[in-house]
Amino acid sequence: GVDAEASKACVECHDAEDLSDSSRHAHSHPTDARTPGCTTCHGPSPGHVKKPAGAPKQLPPDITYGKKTASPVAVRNAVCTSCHSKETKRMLWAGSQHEAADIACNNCHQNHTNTDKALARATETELCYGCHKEQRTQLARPSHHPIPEGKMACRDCHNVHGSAGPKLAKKDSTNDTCYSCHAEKRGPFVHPHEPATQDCASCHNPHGSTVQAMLKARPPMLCMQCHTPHVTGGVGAVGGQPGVFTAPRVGVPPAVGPNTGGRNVVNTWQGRACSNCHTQVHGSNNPATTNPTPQFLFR
Amino acid sequence: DTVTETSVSAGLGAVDGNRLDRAQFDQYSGLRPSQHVFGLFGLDYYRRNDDTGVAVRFGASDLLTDNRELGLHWARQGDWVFSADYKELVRRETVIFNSGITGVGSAAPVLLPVTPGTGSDLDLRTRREGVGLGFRKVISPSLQFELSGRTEHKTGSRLFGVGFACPSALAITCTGTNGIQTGSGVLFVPEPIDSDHNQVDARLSFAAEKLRLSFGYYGSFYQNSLGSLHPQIPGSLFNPTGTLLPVSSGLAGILGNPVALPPDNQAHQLDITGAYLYNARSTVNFKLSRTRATQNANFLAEGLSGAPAGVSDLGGRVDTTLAQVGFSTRPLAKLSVQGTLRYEDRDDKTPLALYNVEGTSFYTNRQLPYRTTKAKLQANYQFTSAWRGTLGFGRELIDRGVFTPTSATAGVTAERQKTAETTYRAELRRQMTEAFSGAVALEHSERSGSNWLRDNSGLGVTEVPDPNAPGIGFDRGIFMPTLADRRRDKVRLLADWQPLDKLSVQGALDVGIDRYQAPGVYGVRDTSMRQATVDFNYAITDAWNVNGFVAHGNQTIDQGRPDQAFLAFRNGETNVGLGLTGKATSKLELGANLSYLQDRATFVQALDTTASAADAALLAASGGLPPITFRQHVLRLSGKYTVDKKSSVRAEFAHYRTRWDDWAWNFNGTPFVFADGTVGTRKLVQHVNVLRVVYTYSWK
Repeated sequence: GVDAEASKACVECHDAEDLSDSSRHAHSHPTDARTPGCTTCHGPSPGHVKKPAGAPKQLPPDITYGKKTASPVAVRNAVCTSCHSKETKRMLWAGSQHEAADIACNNCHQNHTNTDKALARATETELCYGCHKEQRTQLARPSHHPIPEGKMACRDCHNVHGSAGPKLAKKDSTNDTCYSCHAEKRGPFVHPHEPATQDCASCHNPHGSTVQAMLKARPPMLCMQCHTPHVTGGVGAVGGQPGVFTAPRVGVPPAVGPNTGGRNVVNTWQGRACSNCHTQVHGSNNPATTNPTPQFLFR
Repeated sequence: DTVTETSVSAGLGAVDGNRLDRAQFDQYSGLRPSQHVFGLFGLDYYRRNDDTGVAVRFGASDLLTDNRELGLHWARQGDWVFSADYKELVRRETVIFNSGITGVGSAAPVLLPVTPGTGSDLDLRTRREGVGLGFRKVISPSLQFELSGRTEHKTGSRLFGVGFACPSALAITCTGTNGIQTGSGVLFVPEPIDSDHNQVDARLSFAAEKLRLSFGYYGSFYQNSLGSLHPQIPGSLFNPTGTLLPVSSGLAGILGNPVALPPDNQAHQLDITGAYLYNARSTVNFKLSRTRATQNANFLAEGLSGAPAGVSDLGGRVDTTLAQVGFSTRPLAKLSVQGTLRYEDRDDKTPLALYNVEGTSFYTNRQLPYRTTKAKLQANYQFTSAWRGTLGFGRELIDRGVFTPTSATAGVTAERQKTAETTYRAELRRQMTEAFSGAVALEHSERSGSNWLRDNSGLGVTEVPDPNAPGIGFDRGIFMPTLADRRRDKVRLLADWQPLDKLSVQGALDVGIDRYQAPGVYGVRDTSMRQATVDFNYAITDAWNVNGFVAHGNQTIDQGRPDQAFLAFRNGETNVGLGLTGKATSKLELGANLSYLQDRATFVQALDTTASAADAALLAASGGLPPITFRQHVLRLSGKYTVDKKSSVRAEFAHYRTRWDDWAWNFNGTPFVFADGTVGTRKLVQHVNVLRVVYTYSWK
């Protein structure tokens, strides 16, 4: 609870003129007995309340949170976690990536304000970009989740306070996190696609890509990292290039002619590439046993 | 006492450009492509009674677009919370398709061949509408209960298709007669979407002085109103050179086969999560969970026939057990140690049935168990006030269980059931001066695994230590990069410099190299990445601030491919941002932001002396794959004028210029044409100007 008496000395100097308005902050709530007082977070700070005899000036508070603070991260974080570890979403903080990287709560959060950037979807992403600069560039790419548009934020997929998932994924795995919005991909299917069942990030970059569907590489190259491709299309070329629809030289037929099958250099490399035909890349639930069986993810 | 704060924002927006100019912008704009003027309306209401402690907050935004959001938070902090929200989100396809197809969005579209470019322009989009409800009750200082649910309805259609090239193994009815019939076709058939996803979370949390415990249930229920897609195939399709020919009867049958749409599925998870604050220096935490995911959509009800005799649904079931323990301790003032141990076992209990019949060969489906054990340990030591060092160790074991012996490996050339990876990490940080600090981090990891599984060209697999051994015939094999032996090295340099009180500069350089030692000669051989960033922030005066960044990165992938082809992929990306904010007068705030992104992918192909003459001729004539470039400039200007204590006007202008030179749908004036004549267009250069003016009135 709040030690109101101990905080009285603080507000003599740090009044409403000195501090920004934080009346809507959870720490300022008038009837919540759990809300902290000044000394809960800053310590009793007797040398700050009253200049010690012989000292040239007042000492700083016992615990400070400013940019040039001398208070160790562990000390600052211990203050916050003494209350906030009661929430399930913060129980796995110890040992998590951000804790191990010596990140302090106040690196992201502000208390004496009504507009903590970390708590608002519109401002949170910019805050994360402060360290995660690679993602800042990736999210500027044309195929992305609607994060730059403010319709999603980092928190929709990540729990920055610790999780049982990789990369602080909100759910226990990357796939489980994706399924919370893309449940149609969960299956299980009659004909699963193994990498899709293991890790969506095998093929997708959820932070953005210059390839449609946020793919990590352009098909068919992406697919050919695992699969033996059809021999036609061994040399990548596209319609509109010389040699594709016209003969490259006398005696050599064009790569694509009137009788060329569908597995030609254009259909393999353009449009949806491999998924022009292998359309069920997340798995097919078609049980048909007749040829061509759906095991090749045609239908 | 009661505190009430309300603000209402209303205004108008205008956007220029036609559908082609706005394709990229409209991906998530929530505007109809024909809409050039749009309304802006939002509100924020906050009311708190300081006697009762009850506070209510209601917010609404984008109410006059298709991306509207409403949110309610009603609470007596420390006692109870009730929340509700409503959200819409529309995503539009950035490629505009012109097609003769009708019935898009239905499960039975009708395909009609048209001369490319003479069909109708389609507006492929998906729309999500979701409602969320939440309730939390603090039962006592040590006990709390939470319940939340979310339901989302998704409709629309997205890029999809069917295609097939009749192989000679199939009857002549499929391959047809050359020059008279077409025996292959790639068709544009958008996937119809009409589904619901319901999720529920319930949690009881307990907190004693040192112990925290939380028991939770999570349920996910996906229901698709559409079971299968039945495209109606036309009698004639274009052959690869654009001649309309009758479709062979066999091909027509195959292309007209029903396509399975995502089946209904369910998942239930129980978990217990907790932490023990042993003392001020040491904490242990854990999570245990058990998930059961099932899928038992009835095949016939979904419109899918031909299942093995006696099988009405997959009966799919995957049980996942997760256990994680983490700790953080500070045994000495200068030493801290953190670690986690994580075990996850996805046990695929889906029953087997003979889903694959090829001639006289019968194969079952395949189970995909997946067990991972991952350990991480890290120690940090503060040598002096200036020096800090970190050592880390990681070990990951993946076990893919026993290969289902009754299934076939067709389509995948080599697999391995177990892989193990060890990672070492070291980092040194130094505070060189009060204004300058730097860090260097090195990471090295090596992955190897169990024997390789050789495809038996029939049932099951044979385990071999060297898939390239004479007689095995795997030298053309491609080995998955996720399974192959891999050596990974990373270096990271960081610098943080504050030369002036008003100026701060940060720099980072990341270099990473992966080398694959797969036994095959094809597939990924090595990859690399380099990224350098510099950020700065300068407070020109108390009122004006400028900030910016430059980031440049390179990625490479070298990949071997069949027919003695080799492909090197190079991707270079530059991202620049510059922002200015300030107060021109006590009433006028101004902002400007300019960003630029360039991404260029180039492909280098090479052939060796054994390449076929046709491949060599094609490569020589075409010059290889063209590069792909994406460039985007965005300029944003904003101004906010405070009229009085209660009202303000905000104006924002944005200019987007996007140039996307990509050969996926068109190159050099030649479009990629589906067999029904559908073509996709993405305008090369897109310009969009957007102006928004909003008046906000607030009162207390």
